[in-house]
Formats: sequence, C-alpha cells, structure tokens
Amino acid sequence: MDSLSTALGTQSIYYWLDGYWITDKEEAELMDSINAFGSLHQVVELPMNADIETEIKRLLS
Amino acid sequence: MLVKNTQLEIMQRQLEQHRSHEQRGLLLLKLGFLLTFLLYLLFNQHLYLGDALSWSAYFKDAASLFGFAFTVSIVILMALFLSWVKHHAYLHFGFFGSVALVVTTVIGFALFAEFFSSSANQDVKASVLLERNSAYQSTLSHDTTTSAPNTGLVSAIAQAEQTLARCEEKLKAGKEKHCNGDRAKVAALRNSEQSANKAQAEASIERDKLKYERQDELKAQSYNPVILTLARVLAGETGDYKDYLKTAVVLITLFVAVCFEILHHFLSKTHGVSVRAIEGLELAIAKEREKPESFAQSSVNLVTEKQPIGFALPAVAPMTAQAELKPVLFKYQTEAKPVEHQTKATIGFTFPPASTVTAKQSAPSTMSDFGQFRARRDVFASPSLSDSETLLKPLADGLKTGLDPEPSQTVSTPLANGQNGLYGEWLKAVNSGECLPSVKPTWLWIQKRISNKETGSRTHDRTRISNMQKAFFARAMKEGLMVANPNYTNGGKKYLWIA
Repeated sequence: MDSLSTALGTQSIYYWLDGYWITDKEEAELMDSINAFGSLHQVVELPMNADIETEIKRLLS
Repeated sequence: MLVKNTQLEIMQRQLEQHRSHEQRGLLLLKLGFLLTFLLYLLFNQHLYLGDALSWSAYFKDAASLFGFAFTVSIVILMALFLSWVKHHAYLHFGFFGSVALVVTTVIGFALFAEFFSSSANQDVKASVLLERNSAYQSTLSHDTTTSAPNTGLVSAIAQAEQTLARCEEKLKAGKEKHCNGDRAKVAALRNSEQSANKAQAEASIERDKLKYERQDELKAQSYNPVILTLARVLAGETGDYKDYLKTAVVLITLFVAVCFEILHHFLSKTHGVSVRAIEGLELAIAKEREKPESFAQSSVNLVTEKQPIGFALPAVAPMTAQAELKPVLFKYQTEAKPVEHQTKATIGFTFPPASTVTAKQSAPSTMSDFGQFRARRDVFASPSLSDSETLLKPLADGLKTGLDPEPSQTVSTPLANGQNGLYGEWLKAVNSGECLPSVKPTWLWIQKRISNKETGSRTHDRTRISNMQKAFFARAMKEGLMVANPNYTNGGKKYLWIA
C-alpha cells in the first residue's frame, strides 16, 4: 500500500475516531489489535503536501 | 484493477516464498530433533552402558542379558523423551517467546549432555587411534635387548677364586707364605662385577623412563591438532601441555555444543516468525480480495481497507459510495446475514425513517471491554465481539445516511477520544500514579493487560509489547503529555512527563 501511495504521489494516513493519526500501517494494526484507541483505524490517501490535521478534522467533522 | 492484481500477485509470490522458507525451517528443525535424539542416545549410552567395546560382559548369562536389555530400553526412551521435549520447547519458543527457566534447563542440559558424550568420544577416538599406532605398540613390546652378563669378567673371577683356593691349600701345607695377592685380585674382580651390574640397572631404569615418556607423547599426539594447540595454549610457557588435554577436550566440545544449541534455537525463532508472516500475508490477501475497487480521483481519497466503524463517511468519497454493499467486517468477525429491510444504496444524504435504524448502530465504534480479549497464537489479541458490535450491515460505506434516528447520535464529532482504549487506561494509570511514565513500567503495565489472563503466562512477544509501549509514548509526546529528556544520560530518565 505504501509503495503504491508513493508511486501515486500520495501517502496513507491511518487515523482513529479521536483524531489521532499515524503513517505506519503496522503500528496502526498493532494498536487495533489491543484496542488501544477505542476504535479501529481508518485509512485515507492524502497528497504528500496535504495538511493532514485539517484533512483528518474535515473527515471526522 | 491492474494495480490490485499486481499487488495480489506480489503478495501471493511473497506467500509462496514464506511457505517454502517455513518448510525448509521445519525440515531443519526435524533434522535438529533427530540429531538431538542421537546425541542424547550417545550421552545415555555413555552414562548407563559405558563404551560399546565393554558390552561383551553383558552377554555372559541370561540375567546380564536381561539387565542389558532393560537398560537399553531406558536409554532409548530417555533419549527420545529428552529430545522430544527439547523439540517441543523450541517450537514453543517460536510461538510464544522464551521462558527463561525452560531455556536454561533445556539448553543447559542439552549442552551438558552433548559435551559429556562428545568429550568421552574424543577419549575413545584417541584410544582407538593409539591402538593402531605402530610406534606406540612397539613401545609396549617387551624389551629383549637385556644386556648379557660379562662372561670375561665371570671367568676371570672364577679363575682368580680357583687360584686363591689353591694358594690357601698350599698355605696350610706351609708351601706358601701368604695368599694376599690372590685375595686382592678376587676382591678387585668382584668390585668390578658390582659396578657393572649397577650400571646395567641404571641403564634399564633410564630406558624404561624414556619408553614411558614416548608412550605419553604418542598418546597425546593421538588427539586432534586443534585440541593439542588449545592444550598448549592452556599450559602456557612452563606447563606440560599433556596435563591440559582433558580440559581442552571439554572446552572444544562445549564450544561445538553451544554453537549447535544457538542454531537450533535460531530455527525455532525463524519458525515462529515465518508462521506469523504467512498468517499476516494470508490475512492481507484475504482483505485485498474482499476490498472493493474504490480508487477515487479526487485529491482526498478514502480507502476502505478497514471495516467502517460506525460513522458515516464524508461525502468526499463518492467512489466509495458506489461501491458494493457487501459489509466489511471487524477483524476475525464472521459475516452476518444482511437485514431484510436493508436500505437501498442511494447517493446522497437522505435520512431513512427512524424505525429502520436501531440504536445499536449509533456507536459501533465502542469496542468491547478489553478483558474480553483473548491471546492468539500469533500474539495478537482479538476482540471478542459483543452483540452490539456484531454489525448486520455496513454502516459507513458512504451510502448509509441517517443511521441514527436521533440527530445527536449521528456521528458529527468523533465518538472516541482514545479514552476508551488501552491508551486511555494507561493515561489514567499514569495520572493516578499506578504506572510510571517510563519505559519498563509501561512495558510491564501493557504486558500484564494483554497476556493471557487464564494462564498468566507471558506469551506476548517482547518486541511487540515494546512497539506498543513506543506507540503509546509517541502519542503522548504528540499530545504534549511527555517529552524526550534533553539531558538524558545512561541510567537516567529517557522521557519526562509534563502533563
């Protein structure tokens, strides 16, 4: 997924309902496996130069 | 579609590679098991039966034969048991990580058994080589070169004694004045004889000494050159290297045994990693196959890689909205039957009648209590889904609108703020002083909460728990709750809690 994103000039953002996000897929799955953040993560593809915080807020609003 | 197919092909290829790698690893593990069995067999043989050359003593009568058979059966069964336990323990380590006591016992005993039998074998091997050594055998043969008595001296003594006897007879008859000359001659000859005998005895002793030294030298030389070199190193400049041969044998066989055990243990680790990698890839392939084609052309593109968790996705994902209606499920969740009155897929935000929506659907993101998690073989904990979490249909594929009859329950703000999860519990524990916000206490805190509650065993992978701890710290730092200690030194605090 990450290599595909890089090829497309985008990046994968893994985020949770509480607004917390990371870019590491393995870490996201690890956190889900222990229900670390109260929800399962979602994935969004964003351009490399996107304002991640704003986009995530927009997605969750 | 092409990209997805390529991705699937790559993953399939990786899966095949992992499988062949795993098969090879398993084969090596089986070979290790066989080898361990034979080594234990050798160990038990040395321990209970002695060297095979001495077994002939057991075949003298029926009682001895019965005792021998009984001991042999014990030797075989014990070797089988020990090697099997070791094999099982190594497979266990691969799945669940090492248990210090078991590692110490299994490996420690294996090492002992291996170098015990190996060192005994070195001695046997050296003896066999020695027996075949003609130089050594020649030193054992009886020396036939005993020096012959000096016949000239003996006859001279006899002649001198004869002359003395005649002289004494004449002296009695008054025909001689004295016999002092003849007597002195006899005494001198006897002295000569004693000196010669003494010299001969000393020569014999010296010869024996040289012979034994030669035998010792040949015995020592029958050992492997590496053993000899190590013995010379151990002896140093002044010592006799022959005194250190046994020590060298023990050290070398110990080294070999340690190498064998390290490799055997490594195989068990690779087995565990391979199994996890295969399972991960299989899961990823399954996910990829189930995932709908939903590559949006807009700058913001939602990828429904994971199951939607109960909030309507924003309208910026129109492609997702047109995707198939097949529900994407929680990890490990079985697919539920779709509800009869499932709302038809429509594009846009139309609110269905409130009666069609159940309150359960309003907060599907609320996970079950963490206590219901169960440890899995691949050290992932999987949630045991409650009824409220068993989704009857996809809740957030961009199509469903107005999932909740009450506007307040429609997800317009994040439902979770991290407080419902383990991270939230950790924050509370740190704030209440139950857990210190440093590496080891946090590691232990997580480990206690995710280990199998039934057995209390420490089955979670240590690295995985470390990664969880790091992820918690990363979020806490991102949220400004803690910072990396700028003045960190070894032994000091690596992180500072600033909340």
